[in-house]
Amino acid sequence: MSYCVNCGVELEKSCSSCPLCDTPVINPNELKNKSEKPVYPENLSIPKSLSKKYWVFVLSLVILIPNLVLIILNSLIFESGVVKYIVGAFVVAWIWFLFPLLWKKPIPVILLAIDALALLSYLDMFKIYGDDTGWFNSIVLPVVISLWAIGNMFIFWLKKPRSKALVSIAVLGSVSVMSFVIEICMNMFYNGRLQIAISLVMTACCVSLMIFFAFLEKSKRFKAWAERKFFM
Amino acid sequence: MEKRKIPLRQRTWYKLDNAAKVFPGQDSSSWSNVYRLSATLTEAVEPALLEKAIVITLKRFPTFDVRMRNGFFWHYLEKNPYGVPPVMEDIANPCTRFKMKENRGYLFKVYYYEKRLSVEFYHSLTDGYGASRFFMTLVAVYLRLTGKDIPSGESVFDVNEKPRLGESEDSYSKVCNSKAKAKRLQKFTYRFKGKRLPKHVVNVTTGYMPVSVIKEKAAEHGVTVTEYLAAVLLWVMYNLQKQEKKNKEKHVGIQIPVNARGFFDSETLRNFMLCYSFQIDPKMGEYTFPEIVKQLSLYLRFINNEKELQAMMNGNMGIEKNPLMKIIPSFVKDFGVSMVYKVAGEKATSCLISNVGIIKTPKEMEQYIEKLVLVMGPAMINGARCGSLSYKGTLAFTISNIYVSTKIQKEFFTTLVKFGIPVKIESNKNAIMGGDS
Repeated sequence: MSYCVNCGVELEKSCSSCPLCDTPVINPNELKNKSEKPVYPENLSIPKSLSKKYWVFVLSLVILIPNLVLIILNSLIFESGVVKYIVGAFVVAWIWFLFPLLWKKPIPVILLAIDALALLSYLDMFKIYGDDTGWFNSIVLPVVISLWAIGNMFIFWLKKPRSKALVSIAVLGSVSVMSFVIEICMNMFYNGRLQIAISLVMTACCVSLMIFFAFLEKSKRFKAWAERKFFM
Repeated sequence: MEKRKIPLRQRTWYKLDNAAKVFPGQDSSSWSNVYRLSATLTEAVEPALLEKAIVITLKRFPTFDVRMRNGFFWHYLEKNPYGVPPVMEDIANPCTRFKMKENRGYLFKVYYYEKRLSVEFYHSLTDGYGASRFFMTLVAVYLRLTGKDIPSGESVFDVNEKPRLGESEDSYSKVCNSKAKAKRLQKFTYRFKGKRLPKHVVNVTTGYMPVSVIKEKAAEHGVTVTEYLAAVLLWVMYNLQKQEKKNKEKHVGIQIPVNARGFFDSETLRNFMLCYSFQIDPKMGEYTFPEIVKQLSLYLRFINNEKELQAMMNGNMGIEKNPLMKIIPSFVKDFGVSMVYKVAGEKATSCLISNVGIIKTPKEMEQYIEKLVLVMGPAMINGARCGSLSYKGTLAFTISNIYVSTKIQKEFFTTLVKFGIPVKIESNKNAIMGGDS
């Protein structure tokens, strides 16, 4: 019989290392026992489970059937222009939520680019079939591109684990940047001049919260104080 | 094996008992509430004889010869048309999930490997008591088929005898008659976290120790073997949380199933058990091992009585008998149970220990069985689900989990060694990791 020199437990004859701590078993008297049958066989039984692709197929059918019915009814009876927007929204939802499930290992950067393109194409539909007053190029395009750029920055930045406080600071920073982008684009389009007001208020709020989180991250004393003052 | 055609009116069927109703809802694509009993014999197992033994044994245990069917409001058990489940070669990852359409619909799986014979039970079918009676009878019948002279008695039922009516009764319904309902408000507890093994793979480690030594150690603290082992496990989990140096330490809890047959007149072979939960709060200060043993023991002795058990059962039955609950379709109920279990089910306990106790068999049989083991299927998230039983003076204690790390197993068994209890270890680590251990 062999014992683990680290754990002190007796080991099965078939063991060449301790199952608890992986310490190798060296017992010159029991070398002959290496031929002992292991306690458990080596074959793993991995039951087949329904694949993600199956669920994507089922859910796609669930989306496809009512949409097809809607398209047929629309072309025969209603002849409404709204249907293409409803169908388009379902296509975007499919690309956002079901398409990623078809990938074994989704690459976030590519997924984000596809999502942004899908959204742009959907909104472009409104430009093509609706009034083109230039809102697409002036508002939608810069806002979606900004969102896509910020998303990419987050993907690269979050490759390393970050603290909750740092993530909060980054989110608040992004919110204030986006508020600037949206306000500038809207004002340039509607008023034709660079006017900033709401985004400044928004940024002031975000910056004060960012300072709070930065202190929380840096100063243990401040953290302890905050825990005492704001406990619930 | 061909499916027999049994006319509908001849197909015996059983309503699920109160405990069994919960388990189908808890099932996921990779997890079911399963446990395994294994017996290592003195000779290699012959699968053909084992299949014959199952056919003979099932006649004496009609509540095991069933498959689960979906009713509109509740699931139910119905006589299985196949007659015998497949006898399979054993696998490295015991207690994999059950699917009602696999295994010819049977709610128990039979495996063999060299000299070992194992049966895995889905918990809706029976509890540890019923499973041990079925299993030991199966082993006895198998040994008889190999030419051994094995009498009936103790855990071995006489297969020539007719099944008794009380063996298939739902004892929960029979026993619940008081109005008191126990409230079970448990705090969320500490749970071990770590890198998980691949889906469907489980880490199983069994420690064998002499019952006499454990009894001696338990007696030093004035407690029973179950209380002592539960206290060691709780102590290990408590120390693991301390090592993690968390800002906010959570309660550390343990669940201990108890056989209700000891308190009520019942001979049912279906589920008739309840779970006690015990928690300690590390915020109350440092705990020593003797303190934990004492508190756990006092708590169990205080709560372990007929009235408390009945109140707990009434609480569970109250949900089942609620008129609103009755009219909800079974798939909605399953979804609800699944959600509740995923959100809160395992979070009210850090670990579970199920001690079936001493398994007694006729003396003529003992010489042909080397060892018996109870393996609890792993928890969905918790770090330790433990099964233990004693046979021929040896206690087999098995820890199962789904984590790569063997920290809990190591801490538990080395603690026992430090306390002066010799432990012999065997594990499936080699098989699942592809290493040398």
